[in-house]
Amino acid sequence: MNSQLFRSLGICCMLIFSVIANAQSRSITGTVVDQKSQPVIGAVIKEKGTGNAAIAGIDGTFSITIASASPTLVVSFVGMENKEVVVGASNSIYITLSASDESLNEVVVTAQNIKRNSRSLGYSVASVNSVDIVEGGTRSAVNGLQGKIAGVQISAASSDPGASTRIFIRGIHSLSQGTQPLIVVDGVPISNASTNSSSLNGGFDFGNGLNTINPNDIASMDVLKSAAATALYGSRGANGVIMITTKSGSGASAKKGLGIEYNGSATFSNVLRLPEFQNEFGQGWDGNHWLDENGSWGPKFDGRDRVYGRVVDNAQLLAPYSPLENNVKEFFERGKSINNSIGVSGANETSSFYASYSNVKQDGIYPGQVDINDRNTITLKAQTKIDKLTVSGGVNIAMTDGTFVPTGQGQSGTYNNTMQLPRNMSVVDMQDYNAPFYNVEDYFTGYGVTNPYFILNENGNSYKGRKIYGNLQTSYDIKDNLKVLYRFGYDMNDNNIHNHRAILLPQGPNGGSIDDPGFVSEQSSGSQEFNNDVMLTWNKKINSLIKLDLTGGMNINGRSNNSLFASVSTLDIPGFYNIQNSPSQPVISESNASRRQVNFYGLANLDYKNTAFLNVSLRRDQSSTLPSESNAYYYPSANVSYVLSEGLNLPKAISFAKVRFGYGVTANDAPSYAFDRYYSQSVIDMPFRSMNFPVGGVNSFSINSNLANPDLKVEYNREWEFGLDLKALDNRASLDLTLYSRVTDDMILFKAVAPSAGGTNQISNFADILNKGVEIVASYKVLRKEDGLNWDIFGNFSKNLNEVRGLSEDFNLGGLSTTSFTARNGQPIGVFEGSVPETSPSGQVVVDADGVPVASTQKEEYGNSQIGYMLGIGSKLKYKAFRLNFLFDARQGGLMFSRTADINHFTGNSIKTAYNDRKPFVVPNSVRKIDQGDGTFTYEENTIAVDPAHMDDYHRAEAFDRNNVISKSFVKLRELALTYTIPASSIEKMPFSGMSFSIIGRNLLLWTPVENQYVDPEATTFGNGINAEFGEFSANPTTRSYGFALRFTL
Amino acid sequence: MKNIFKIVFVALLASTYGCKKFLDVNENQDSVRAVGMNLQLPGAQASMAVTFGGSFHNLGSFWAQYSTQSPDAGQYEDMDSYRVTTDEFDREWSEVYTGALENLRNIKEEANATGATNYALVATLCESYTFQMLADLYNEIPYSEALAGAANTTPKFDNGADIYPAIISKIDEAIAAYEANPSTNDLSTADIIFAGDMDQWIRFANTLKLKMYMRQSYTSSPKGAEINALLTEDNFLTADASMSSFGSGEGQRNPYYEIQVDRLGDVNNRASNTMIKFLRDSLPVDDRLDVLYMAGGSAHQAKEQGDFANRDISSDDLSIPYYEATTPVYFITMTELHFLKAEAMVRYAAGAGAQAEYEAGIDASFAMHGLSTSSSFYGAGNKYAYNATGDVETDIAQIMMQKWVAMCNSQNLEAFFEVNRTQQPPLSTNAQGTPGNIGERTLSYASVLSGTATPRRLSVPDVEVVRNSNAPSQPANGLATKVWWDQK
Repeated sequence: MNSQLFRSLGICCMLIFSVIANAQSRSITGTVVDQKSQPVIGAVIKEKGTGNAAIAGIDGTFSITIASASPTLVVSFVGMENKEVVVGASNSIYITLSASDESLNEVVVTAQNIKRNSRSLGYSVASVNSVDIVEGGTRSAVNGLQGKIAGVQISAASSDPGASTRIFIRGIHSLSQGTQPLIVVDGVPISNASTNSSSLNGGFDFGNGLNTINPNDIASMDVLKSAAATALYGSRGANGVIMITTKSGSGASAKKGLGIEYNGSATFSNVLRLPEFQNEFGQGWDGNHWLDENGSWGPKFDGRDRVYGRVVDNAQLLAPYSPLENNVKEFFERGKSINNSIGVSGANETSSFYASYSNVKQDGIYPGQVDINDRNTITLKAQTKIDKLTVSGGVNIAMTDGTFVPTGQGQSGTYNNTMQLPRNMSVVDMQDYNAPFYNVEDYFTGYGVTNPYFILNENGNSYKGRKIYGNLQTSYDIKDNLKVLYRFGYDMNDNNIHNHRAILLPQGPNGGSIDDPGFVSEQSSGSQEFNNDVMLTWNKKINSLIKLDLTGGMNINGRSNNSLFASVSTLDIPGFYNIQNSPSQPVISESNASRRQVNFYGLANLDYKNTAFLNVSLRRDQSSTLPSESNAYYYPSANVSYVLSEGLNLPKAISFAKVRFGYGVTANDAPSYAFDRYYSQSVIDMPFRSMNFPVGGVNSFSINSNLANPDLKVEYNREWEFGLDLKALDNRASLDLTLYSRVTDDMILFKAVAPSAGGTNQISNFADILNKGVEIVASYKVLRKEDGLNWDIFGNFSKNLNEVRGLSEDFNLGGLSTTSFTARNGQPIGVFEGSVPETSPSGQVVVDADGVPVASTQKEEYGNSQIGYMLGIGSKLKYKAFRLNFLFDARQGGLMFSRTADINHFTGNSIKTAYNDRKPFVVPNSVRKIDQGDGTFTYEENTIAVDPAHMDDYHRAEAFDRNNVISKSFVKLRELALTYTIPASSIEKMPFSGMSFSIIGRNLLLWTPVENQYVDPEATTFGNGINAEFGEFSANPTTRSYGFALRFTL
Repeated sequence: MKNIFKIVFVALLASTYGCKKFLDVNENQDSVRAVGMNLQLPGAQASMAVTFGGSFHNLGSFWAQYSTQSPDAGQYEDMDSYRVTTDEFDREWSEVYTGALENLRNIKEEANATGATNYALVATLCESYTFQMLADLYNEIPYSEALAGAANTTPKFDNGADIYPAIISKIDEAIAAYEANPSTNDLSTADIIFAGDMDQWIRFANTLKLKMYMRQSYTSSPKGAEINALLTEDNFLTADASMSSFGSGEGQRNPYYEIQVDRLGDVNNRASNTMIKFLRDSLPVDDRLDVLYMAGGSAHQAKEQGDFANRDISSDDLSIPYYEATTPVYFITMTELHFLKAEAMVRYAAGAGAQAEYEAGIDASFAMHGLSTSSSFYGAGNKYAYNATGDVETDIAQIMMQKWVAMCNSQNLEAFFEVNRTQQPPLSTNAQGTPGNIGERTLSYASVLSGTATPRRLSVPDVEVVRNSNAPSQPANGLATKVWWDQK
């Protein structure tokens, strides 16, 4: 076995460096596609009457060596009709397979990596194949799913190179115990943790586990949405599961097949959305042309020459007082991404292997090497079968290196500093940040803002991420119908983050605007997960009608993570960014956590005449994070599926119909160390800061302020779903309808308690979340002509409603002091609340002595962050060798906070602030509030107009905080790809067996409601959980990307 | 092959036997389930220092009229205009209960269980001081049922008038227990106030009791007998009770300095003219003027209390209360002790010895700032010379004025209590918007309270009220409602 494995790997290595020597017999190349013109990856091509065979690879291409002059090829794939094709003299062939009569016999990967026929399942599984994932040229596989799956909200945190992606499957089910789905690669869970910071003073996002995977390694992704589908993952299945199957060398029956596959792309990016700026008023404040203001509240542009900036050596800059409409846009450059991936696979009767290497080099839209991301991945997989024993294994290594332009305010947020340029000031002129007028001493404003180029080039951060994961699996056929499998899986992550800010102590007469003694931090963190699985499967044909499958398994899981952080905030030597470069004691923190589980599960599938199916399962989890006397929980599930078109006489137009019903229970496990009280190093809380021990050479420990809870339980999810699958008009139309309802109860929350009890909170099980919704997936083959025009349209719609119940007090999800973001009883998750104008008893707006509305002392609800519905609509057009695909992705409803909006209201740069040409106006329906001196007030009609000197006070009034909370609805042209597949006949003299060339684009167009003139609503700077739904705090602008891709196989 | 399979299977079965042990990883690796009392005490004492020397100290600075809000910033306009919101001190309430009191309670329990009477006494005294200060600030606080953990998350509120005697009897019990069986557990590094000097702690107990008895001087049952007993025993502090082990790095500094000076850039607090006038305008100028305040320009300038709407003087030109990173946080000072004794002697011992204590109080105040010129101010005929008239209120007025000055920047919250108790310095009778005379408090220009009302307490913070059904409803007059001993 070992020798064969090594031989396979050896072949693989040889092939990477040499071109295959051709065999003596004739070789035929071809492509296998389905009726949707999608390649049939893994289709088996055999030469009838011989042992010659091949497997269709990526793009459905294959190459087979044939013995006879006019052979017959038998092409087969599970769920498809076998097809026999007689090959003439041509050396290339194009084969279309149609779905077998038993339509929807699609094989999907279900929980615990069990492959099932989707027909037999009582729940929906969304399956996406490799072409659909990579077609848009995304570096992150999961981004390739955006808009393609009903009920799954996938949002890239930003377009910053390497940034992470958050996924909510059928809404948000937990307020504190994680919201992201479990990611399983080839049967083994991997960490999808994100390396990010939501700091308002310099946030960053270096990505998450999912986007270290090379999309070209993926054969398919199956999204398990409902609890019925994920109950076999018990306490890890609460947020859904994404099952990723990577490519392997071959199918089992292949005799021979060896190939090299290359995927490459080069894409460029530019800013998708900048705020809409006004171009009528320039630098100043209160209507005056003040030269040190970081805003455009000055007089109207008149085009006359005026001095600006500080006086340096008795000189001052001079320029016409006119708008520079593209001053911010010009700051950014064109981003680039080069993507290369090469895969080699091979197989013989008993063994197969797959090996790949990929490299992604990205440089984002900020000038310079400040937002780069460089990812290298290596994958090796091999499998061999000896008699009744099958051994397989795989290892994946991902190495990511990056830099990130921090978001947020202060001297870290480059974008935020750029937003504070008056409309008449050029940013590109400031590129030399050591030059007079533009250096940090002489920078024009003294309001805590400095030259963005200084920040960009002198402050920085860098990241090194290393991920290694893999599995080793053996299975043994004890009998024909009894099989045992053992699998070991491991995932290891090692991350290092470095951050620094330059010493910024401006001297000189102008004195600069920011003092910063410098800062360095180093963080190293890691995580490990192992899984041991044993699974026994047995199947039996009870009689001619009934089949029974039984599976039993055991899983032992361990997870741990650790982190060490050190920072110093005063530096001695300029430009030397090392923890030792400081007179002050470093702030150090350490964290370690581990958790383990021992789990058992069983499942039974009953098949009646391939028409009615019953599946039941039960899982028992025992977890280290729960009190030992009550740490075991059971997760049952059951689902039924009935193929109506088999059992009933349906109208002819309906070619397939199935109803399904599923119910399941899953849970979110409790966090580590939550049910007991602990002491940790003393940190004394104070406003804005804390006192951190040791102090004065004395160390101290204080009792944790969580009162703990010995009765802690897991938080349960119970979900049912009902669905209908229909195919009609000779399979040309399909419809998949799902209704679901899920209750999360016994939710684990840190319940706030009165501090006088001796703690500030107690972890408890209380409150429920209700999620219910509908998902509709439909497609229609508008035109279908072999060798002619083929046109498919498809779409998916989903709507999820959620509500929090049983909360006695608002639960804080994040937010800011001005705008809160909470879970509130009886409301959807993520309620926004903030200041509103004070009104008189008769509902008129109260204004102050300047005529500006006054904020009410009582904050009010603005609405919530929940999306109303999601819609994806796409089209696939194929004509001969050309394919044109596009996809629109839309979301409607929900609010978000935008700090970008806020700063543009503040600076008077937003087009909104040019309201009424900044001419004086009286706030309509406003009153003055008159204090009667005895605690009572009277109201009289307001006649005071807001004058130009108070226009800024009006537009940035606290009473109008609501203006910074905007709709996050959008429609995006998510993907566009035009592909030309070179006909096999054209390349027969070349060493290629298939080749295609594409022009690709992602996020090309964005439409938003009028009230959002500021940001891409998908952007966030608040991480990957619920708080990400709060919005953005000066997020870097998102981008559109476009370019080309080349794929070929040898 | 079959053998391998058997081995794997048996191994896995064996591993499930070890399941209980396998799952026993829920021991937090970053923290510990138990630590020695010596490691808990510094954090508890620091929590007291941060609470009373940080935000509450800052509040006292406004309400005792040592500082006023700068016209060019606005962080503390609410304090200066007497409309402190009910969530303003959520953080401090949480910190003092869960940081100081909860840990002190733990130390006490462990000390009582192990016979560590010295730890029990120190923890009791720290807890007593903390409860007394909170009771004086809020009038009603959870005391008898507080800190019961999950067993009682809605402790009832006790009135200050009931808490005082309870505190005193607990102090007496702890002293008795210590004296009956004085344990010698090492406190030297753990006790960041007195480095384990138990004699000093017993003196601290007596001084604290003296302060608490004196607090009741205007109530219907003043504690003259108890006070005379303490004066007779005369075993009071011989050094300031303070935390002084601050460093210069972030997270290591004096809490007022950390927040106001370093974090907020010292843009809010500016000298109140109430204090500046007193130090500067009756000649000779008090030497403490230049150590208590940093002049903005060449001379000291200040604003009338709450006059932040008036921008006639730039905040850069106004004097700023002066703190350093390592300025100690004072719990009870020698200067306070001397003034307490002086007042007690006037009230309950016909004034005998009062002048000496009065002068010692001024000496201690000057000494705290490294000055030694105090006698030139209280010497006969000089501006602070003690003039024993025999009229209790007149004599006490002299003492309280000096006590008010002496507590500036060192015991601001205590000064606020004492101003309320004795109404010294008196509130000016001038109309709002008109400066008070020298030696008078000015009614804040920005006061939102009706008439001449001034703040007398804080409302129990939201963080407690919304979670504790036993919290009292807010008093009708809000901040202007007097606490139980405030009866002058």
